Amino acid sequence: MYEIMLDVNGWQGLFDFQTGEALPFENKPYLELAKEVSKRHPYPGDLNPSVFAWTTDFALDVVKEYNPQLMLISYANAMITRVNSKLTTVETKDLERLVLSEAFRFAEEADYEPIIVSTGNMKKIDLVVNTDDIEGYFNVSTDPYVGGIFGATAKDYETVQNMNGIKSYMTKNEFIKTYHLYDEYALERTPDIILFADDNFALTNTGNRGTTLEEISEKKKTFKAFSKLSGLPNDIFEFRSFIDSQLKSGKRIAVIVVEGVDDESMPDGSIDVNKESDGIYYSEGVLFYYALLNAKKFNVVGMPYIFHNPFIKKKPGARYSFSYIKTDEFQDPIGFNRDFKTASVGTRSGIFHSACMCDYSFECHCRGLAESGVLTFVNGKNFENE
Amino acid sequence: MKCNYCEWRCDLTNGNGICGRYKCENDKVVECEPFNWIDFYPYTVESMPFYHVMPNEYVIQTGTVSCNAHCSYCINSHLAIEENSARKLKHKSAESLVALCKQMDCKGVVFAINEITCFIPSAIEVAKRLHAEGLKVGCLTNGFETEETAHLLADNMDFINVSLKSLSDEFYKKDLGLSSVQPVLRNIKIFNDKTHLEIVTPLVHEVVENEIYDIMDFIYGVNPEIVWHLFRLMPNNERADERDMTHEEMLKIYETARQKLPYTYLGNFAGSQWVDTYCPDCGELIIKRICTGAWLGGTVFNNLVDGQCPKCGKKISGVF
Repeated sequence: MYEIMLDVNGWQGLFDFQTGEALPFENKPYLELAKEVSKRHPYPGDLNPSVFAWTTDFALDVVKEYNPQLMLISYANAMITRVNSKLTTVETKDLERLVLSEAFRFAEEADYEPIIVSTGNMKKIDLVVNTDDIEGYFNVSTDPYVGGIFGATAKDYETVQNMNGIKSYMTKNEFIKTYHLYDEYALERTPDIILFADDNFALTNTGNRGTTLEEISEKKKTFKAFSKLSGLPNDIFEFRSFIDSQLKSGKRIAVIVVEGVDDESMPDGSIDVNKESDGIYYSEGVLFYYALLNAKKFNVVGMPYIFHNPFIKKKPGARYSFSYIKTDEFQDPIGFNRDFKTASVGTRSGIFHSACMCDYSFECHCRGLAESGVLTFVNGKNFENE
Repeated sequence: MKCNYCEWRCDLTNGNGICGRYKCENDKVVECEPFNWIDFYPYTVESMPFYHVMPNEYVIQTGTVSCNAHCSYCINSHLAIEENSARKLKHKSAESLVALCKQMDCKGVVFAINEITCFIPSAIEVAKRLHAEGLKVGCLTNGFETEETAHLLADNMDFINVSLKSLSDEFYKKDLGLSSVQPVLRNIKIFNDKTHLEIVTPLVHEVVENEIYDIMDFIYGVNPEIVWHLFRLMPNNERADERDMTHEEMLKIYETARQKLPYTYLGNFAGSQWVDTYCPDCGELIIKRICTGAWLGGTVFNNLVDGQCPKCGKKISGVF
């Protein structure tokens, strides 16, 4: 059985991964590890500066207790802080230094070959596309330069032809044809009109309770990666096979994602890695993690889709209520059912455990900066014979 | 010229009042930006939270900016308190908001993002248009309206959730920036008499220590069937560093309160197991809910039959 464990304010609950139904803990020894480690590391909150040390300490604790061959870590809070706070250049640099120092602290204290990857440059929002004249419902995708109109009116098809800050647009049919979409789930979530913003413009969302973004990903084709391992690939979709080959040779690998660290702040010796494919920039969220860890493009069947259609209402209590997963076919996540031990610790809530599905995947449980403690995915099937 | 929407009764002769959302125009108090919204998005009605209202149905959540209070732990301080010139409201007429509601197959609108007292005329106009289309409307409020506004809301809202944060004037002054709790207590009685009322109380340390059971007794005195949401507080704004309440502390309050107020719930965190509705008379599990993240959630099953317990037939209070 696959399980989700939650630890909130000292309370721990166990749930069926697929249904979200509450389960009794019973006497399953493999859950004791999850219970004890989570209890020792209550989540301090997304914008709390201690969150970086929290991630490292948690990861070191997992290594001590479980000792996986593959360890995945995501430090997302520099990005989260930059998105939500007005920072000076000095404050941003301090934040970047803090993240990297924590990533290297893990690397020094644990016996792994680290692969440290950023997600690419971020930039202050300057020009924002004015979407006031759109009559349908405008929503941004996971890529901040791609948005869509759901329930588009006839006038919307005229409006988008001359919108300031919009480089190009596609109709739903054109988008489906261009990206070879045939997954029913994706088809019904594809907007009527898809807008591609100019590089120096940003698209902002309806549906974010009035939060304003301070920074977004820069539209740049590359991010940085650093490792002492030779042969580090220069394309995001080649990382999965590279990591697998290293693991196959018996190496202990730690993949450490440092979101919100700009290229110039990455360690000397970092290389450029391409993250663009067919005009889509795999810069953040499900796009980045599924591409980096699982070599999956957004139009693959089973991917969490990059658009959220507000007209489709997923009923709470439907499958995978705590996760960004849409099908029982898990699309070969990097940590799932391997013949060696895997674990992850991260602060990319919802996305990270969905993309990894390690034996133990620990992360904060947050939605829109509101936190509900620590969430753990446990692949109980791996432990059934213990 | 005074604004009489809330108990501050601000003089608008030379300004826009404490909330900054009204002005004096042709000897009338009008909104500075009528029908301009910060957001409109479909959520389950349970996420507002309303637990005894149309289980598992979606409503459009909307609101504007600003507030007439200044809560030290405000979770929406980015909207309610902080100035942000980059923030832009979106205009949507009452008519088009209702059309969007129908287009999205939502059952109504809930004004839930900020204090409704900051946009009363727009809210009432939307409510009237929703009702004309057979749709529902509700709101969240801190309850600091004037008596006349309370009646106006009660007459136009199908359901109201009041945040009763304390019974102490001192707490209201010091931690919420409001002059007194007395108008809130008065308005709770008005709402209870005229519409469906739910109450939410954030579990703040000093409130828990000093008066949580007094609040329980006050609600019991108004109506023992009022829905009471005990809210796990995620301290924010000026109290962001405050320690979390322990689960044991929260659970003790929940268990005690349910003895008097059967529709007490403990939530605002993922996985909460204390959000289900049991029949107060026969103990039957009637509505099972799920909390998927902080305030987000919905109903897993609803066994109500015509608003009654399927086992013993007790009428369950609410909008079902």
